[in-house]
Amino acid sequence: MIALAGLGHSFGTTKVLDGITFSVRPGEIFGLLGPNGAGKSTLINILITMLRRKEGSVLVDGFDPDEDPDLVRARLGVIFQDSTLDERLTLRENLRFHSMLFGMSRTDTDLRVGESLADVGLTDRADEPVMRLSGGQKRRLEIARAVIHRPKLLVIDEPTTGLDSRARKEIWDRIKALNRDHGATVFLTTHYLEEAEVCDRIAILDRGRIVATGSPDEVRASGGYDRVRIKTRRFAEVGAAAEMMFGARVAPTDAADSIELFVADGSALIAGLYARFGASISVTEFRKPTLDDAFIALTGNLPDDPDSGAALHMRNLVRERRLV
Amino acid sequence: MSASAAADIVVIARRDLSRNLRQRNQWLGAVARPAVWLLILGAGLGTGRSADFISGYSYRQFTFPGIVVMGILFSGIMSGASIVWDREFGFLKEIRIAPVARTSILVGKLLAGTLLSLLQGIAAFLFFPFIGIGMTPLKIFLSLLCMAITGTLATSIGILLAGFVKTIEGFGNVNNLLAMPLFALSGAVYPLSGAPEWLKRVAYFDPFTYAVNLMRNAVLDVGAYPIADIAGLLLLTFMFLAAAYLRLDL
Repeated sequence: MIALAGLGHSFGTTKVLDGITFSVRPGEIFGLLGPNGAGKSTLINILITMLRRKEGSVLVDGFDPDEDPDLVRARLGVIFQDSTLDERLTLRENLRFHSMLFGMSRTDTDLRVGESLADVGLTDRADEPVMRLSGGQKRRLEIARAVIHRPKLLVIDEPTTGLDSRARKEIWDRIKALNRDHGATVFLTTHYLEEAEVCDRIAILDRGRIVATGSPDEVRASGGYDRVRIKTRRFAEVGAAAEMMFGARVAPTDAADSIELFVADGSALIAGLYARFGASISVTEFRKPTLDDAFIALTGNLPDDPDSGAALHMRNLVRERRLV
Repeated sequence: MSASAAADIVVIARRDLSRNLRQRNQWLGAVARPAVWLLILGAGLGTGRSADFISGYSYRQFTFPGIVVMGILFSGIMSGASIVWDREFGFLKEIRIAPVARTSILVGKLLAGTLLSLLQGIAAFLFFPFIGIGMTPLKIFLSLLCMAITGTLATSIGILLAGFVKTIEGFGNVNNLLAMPLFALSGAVYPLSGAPEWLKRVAYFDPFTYAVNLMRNAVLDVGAYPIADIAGLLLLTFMFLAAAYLRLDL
């Protein structure tokens, strides 16, 4: 559905996208992750014909956005990060405007506008101006609008930024339903890593380059390390052995009798250490890497997710420092 | 022009019209502004010398065509603000991702802006019975034609400005820095024939000088048909639109 090969772009002398190559298969939900400034918006703008690329090739459903923008636009449903509704028009007028510009007949328009409003539970608000809706309702309306012309590809920039958790869940259920019921391919960007878990496949973009692609499981495995916390009085010996035998990285902890080990294969490490040290050690924590860990390992950045463990940890550290 | 382009133009123009026509206070302004000029300022200024006015007409009658042009000029130029507004509130993106030709967007905006400014012009024009100007069907027809020409000109200037002015606040300045001087120079409220030489020279470059002149010809039965002026104004309108097409991020 999307095929990018060697896509590059620059603003002035600043290279913002460099050698981007990946493809999105028909019918999948594909997530593009990356810290702020990674180039996500630029990539989306190129896909949706808002920006002409400088290098490489881009095909959307077989068409080049630079060569045939109208053919690409007709296939796309786009939901931008910030609202693009006309607040003064009514819900119905917003949907009608969109439908007519996408070349739908009058009968089709009337039919589907009614359907869409019912679908997102806004039928009774149809003739009110959009400005009276809540943030979550506006988002639902935007989703309804973006798919009213039955696009093959739905492009969503940060679908849930600024929404509360209930509204976020609602939006995600809707995206999944669209994907399932209409077979629409979904390409989205997000910095909520737990949302990336919903995707069939993800790519991580960092400073204009793709640093990982695959299913969330694959990416998680490629980036992060297993974390093993061991309680022992012989930590110097244990640490040295873990380093030598398994290439583990050893980190001190806040407890005097514990160390933390970061290693590719945590299970093998634990088995090896038990075989050697027996009862003088005990494993108090064993954690597989999360997508957060992979993200940090791959980009050197903390994810922006306010709920994520790493961000929380960092904030706590900062808070502690400030107190001192 | 294909049928679908025509349909797109109508969709774009209709949205601008419906969202603007819903603003009740705009209608109040459309009527209040000419009322202030014609009834209050007209009464005050008319007491001065009148040698340079067209003979046989009072100051109010002399300035009436100019007041009609004023409504159109301000409304047309401010129609560019609707593009700036759309850009700021994101709706421009919604238009840009639609499979619609840029010329259709431009023409749709021009159509809406012209019709809205025409309504402002008509609101002022309807004061004619109160200031004692007689109308014939021909005069009304010619007046509407002049209003339409002035409206497309003012709107095309507004649209072009939207390519340069990026914020709503900035567009407020356009009113003071551009629309007001264009109006003041046009000879709408004083006869240019009696103006100092330097002012005449500057007014020569103001397209609305010609628009006011056309309007005066139509309304006051001057009896001249300055076809060259009309052609000039239309050409200028087209040039502004072409520049807007190149410049605007539609």
